[in-house]
Amino acid sequence: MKKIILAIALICSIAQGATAQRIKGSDTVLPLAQKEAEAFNKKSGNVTVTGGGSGVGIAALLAGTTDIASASRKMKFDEKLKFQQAGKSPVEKIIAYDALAVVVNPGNKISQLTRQQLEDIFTGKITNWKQVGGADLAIVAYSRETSSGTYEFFKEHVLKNKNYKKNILSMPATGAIIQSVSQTKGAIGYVGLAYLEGDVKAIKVSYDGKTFVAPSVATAKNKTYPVVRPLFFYYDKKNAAKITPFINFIGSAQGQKIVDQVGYISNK
Amino acid sequence: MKKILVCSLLCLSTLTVMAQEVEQTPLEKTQAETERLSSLVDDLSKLKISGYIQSDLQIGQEDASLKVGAGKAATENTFTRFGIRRGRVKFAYSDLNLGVVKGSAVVQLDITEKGVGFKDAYFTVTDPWAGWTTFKAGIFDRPFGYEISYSSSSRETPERSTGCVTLFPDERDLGAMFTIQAPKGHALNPLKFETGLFAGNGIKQETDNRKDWISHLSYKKTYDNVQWGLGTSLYLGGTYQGSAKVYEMSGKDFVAVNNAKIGDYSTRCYYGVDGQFLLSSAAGLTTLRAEMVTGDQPGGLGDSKSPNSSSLPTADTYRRNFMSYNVYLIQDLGQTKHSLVAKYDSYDPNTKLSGDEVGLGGSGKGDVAKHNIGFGYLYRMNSNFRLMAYYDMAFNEKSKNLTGYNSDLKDNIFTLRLQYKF
Repeated sequence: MKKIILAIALICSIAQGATAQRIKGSDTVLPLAQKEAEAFNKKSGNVTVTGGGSGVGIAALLAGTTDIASASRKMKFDEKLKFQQAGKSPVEKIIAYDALAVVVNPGNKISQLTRQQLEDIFTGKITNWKQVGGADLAIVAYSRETSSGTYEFFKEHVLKNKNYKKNILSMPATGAIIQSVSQTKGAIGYVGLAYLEGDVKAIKVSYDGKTFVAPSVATAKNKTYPVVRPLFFYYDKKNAAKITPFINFIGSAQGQKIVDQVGYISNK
Repeated sequence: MKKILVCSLLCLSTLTVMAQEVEQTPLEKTQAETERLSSLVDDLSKLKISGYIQSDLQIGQEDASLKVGAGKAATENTFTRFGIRRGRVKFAYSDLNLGVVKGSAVVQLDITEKGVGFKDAYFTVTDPWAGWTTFKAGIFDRPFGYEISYSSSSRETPERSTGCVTLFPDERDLGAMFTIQAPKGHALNPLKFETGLFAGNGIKQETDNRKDWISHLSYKKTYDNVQWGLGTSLYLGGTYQGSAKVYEMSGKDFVAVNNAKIGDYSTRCYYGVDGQFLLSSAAGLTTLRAEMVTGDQPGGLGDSKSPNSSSLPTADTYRRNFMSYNVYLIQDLGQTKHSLVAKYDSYDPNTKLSGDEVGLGGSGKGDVAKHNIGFGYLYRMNSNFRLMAYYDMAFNEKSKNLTGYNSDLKDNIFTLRLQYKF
């Protein structure tokens, strides 16, 4: 009898293992992936979600310790080469879009900045809020860690690939940026739209120096807000059969509704 | 006084014993154990062990020289050998937590049925201030061109090109080098400059006073689906003259150099350019690499190999101008694990002689140009296993004035290789 029970338990665990899917990577994607997984698991799935950063997720996919790598940036060329060397073919899927919001302490009277001003602040050329029309207060700039896709996207699109200033404060997660900005008067940082809350103030951004637009789902969808990026899932082609049901779920009407609810921009 | 002192010490030791007897709570014990394990894992993660084993089956035509197994027996024509081409184990220790200086040390062994040898033994130190400069000393790849430092475990053909193997035996040399490169993320990071002084004697012990200067300047740019790189190299050195008989080309003849002496040096000078282009598309990854090296190479009558010996040479010296180049093309078959490979490489040890001129005017085997065309197939099974099938067609310069080279030698080689990388 014991043997039968053990055998059944073993078969069950193997069957569960065969359908279980692990998602690891972007902290930006994390809240969305969690909500999607919760809804999917209610039906038939067994999806688990962890963060760590886009780079961490992609490295885990390469090492085979996750089934899906979530990323807030595209896979880099050198990462593609590593997959090629390992005989793996990563498949890329855009699951949603995200607007990157620049946030300051609610006590800061500044409510809008140009891209050039943001570049100068994060590269260290502008060090005091009075240089952009604010109070005489030192600017405390917060950034994500280098393994973060958000870090790289902000650098590429807002800083035009210029280096962050040397003494920038690197935070391990978006939540830490929210907390630090909310508690520091001269602080500035950047977070995914879904993380926006009352403790911080999102400022309007202008790329042309004339039109300033606040980040929101509506302004991202109508493409007036300039700092918008796709969010990705990557998986190994050989696992497509296992992954497809969850990917299809995210692409479904229910899945895309969750995208809107979480505060991201749906594909549809 | 003594008694008081002894009593005090006794009291103190008793207190210590009592303090030790205080029981830790389960949570404290777990925390202490976690800290101990965490520290252990940190220490262990500084040491990385990696390597690869290449087991080859080679079939050679009657004049071929195979890289595995013993040479051809007199009774054999086409011959087949099985063997371990490379059995590498690399130990790399990286101390990333020093905070002041970032250092690392690497030792690599090559273990095959032919014996155990070492390949790398070096340490590196990176400047703690800007992180731009790294100093490296020991035995390591010469900073010349691209093919030398491209790992054999990643290379798509069984061997490097003839020119590379002839000019840079074992790829490595004993020396000290500076690498200057901006940290990742810096606008100047794509630029890299390597420069150093080397013994010029391969991985063998140094045997003379002269040092060779080798430098490589490269630039690499990466986009979403394209990566390209360019490099230029310089080798300035000398080769010890083992006898007073030193010859150089005058017209089509080797003539003796006046006042040549044992212990003087013949100029060993190379100029190189290299380029790489990689494109990722729906057709799969396309890789194109090319390299050209030219310059002055002192050698013997029978070959133009660079020094790689434990003792000073005693043979006569022949100074030659050479030209070497190679082109690799690798095309993945779409998004699959399969690739096709084509390679062409050429090495002309004496650019002043060609065809029937070889064998006259004091020239010999060491002046015969070689060209190789190879085609291969790669199957990357997973991150550990890789299968390679490669056919190398070797062509040599023909001369009716040189015995043994009146026609093309039968020295084509087929290699079937299974590699395990860890």
